[in-house]
Amino acid sequence: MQIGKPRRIHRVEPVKDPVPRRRREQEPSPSRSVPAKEPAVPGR
Amino acid sequence: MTVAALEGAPDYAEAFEAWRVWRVVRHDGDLALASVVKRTVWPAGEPLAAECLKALPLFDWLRRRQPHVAPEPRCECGIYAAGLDCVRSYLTDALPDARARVIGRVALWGSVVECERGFRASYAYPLALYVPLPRRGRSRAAIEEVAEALTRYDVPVEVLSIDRSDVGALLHALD
Repeated sequence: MQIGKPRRIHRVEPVKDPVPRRRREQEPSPSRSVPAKEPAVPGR
Repeated sequence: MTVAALEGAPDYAEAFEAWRVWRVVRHDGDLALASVVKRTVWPAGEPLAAECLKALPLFDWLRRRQPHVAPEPRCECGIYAAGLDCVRSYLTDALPDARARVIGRVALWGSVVECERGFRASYAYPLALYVPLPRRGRSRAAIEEVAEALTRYDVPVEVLSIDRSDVGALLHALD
């Protein structure tokens, strides 16, 4: 590809991962429920 | 904040976006995106990392010198992307071994060399893919099959009802 001569260099570090699959794997699944804490029963 | 800390800070916190054209090839049983000028196949689900594909000069090879980190401004290495006007010719050039040709937006990050008409980057991943109809030969069903296969990149894939030789209409649709 003819893109011409270099002008400058940038350091680009995206905060959001540009790869969709990897980003999805990192996020907690919405279907995954957090087990509710069992209520403390005195004497048990 | 010290000057040293500022020097270590990135210039941008969002990936650059530009355009590319890919060949679609069969690779390890799947249809995959591949460079139009190199044999590089773009992996799905992970970024493509640039490496310098230029052969080392004999002197460097004999001294077992390692190739440089890509993109190196003085070399021609890196993952290329540019504006629509710059990539359009790759849609119509003859690429006999390709199943199809697709155009798309790509995210670029890492070290990005800004050039007069485009970029060379150290990392890239497609953002959206557009599959135009071929000039002749392949049916729309075959092109839709290609588009379906490319969904493994987990980015939007769209079949454009425009013959890829009609670059003007294509650019208008993408703009």
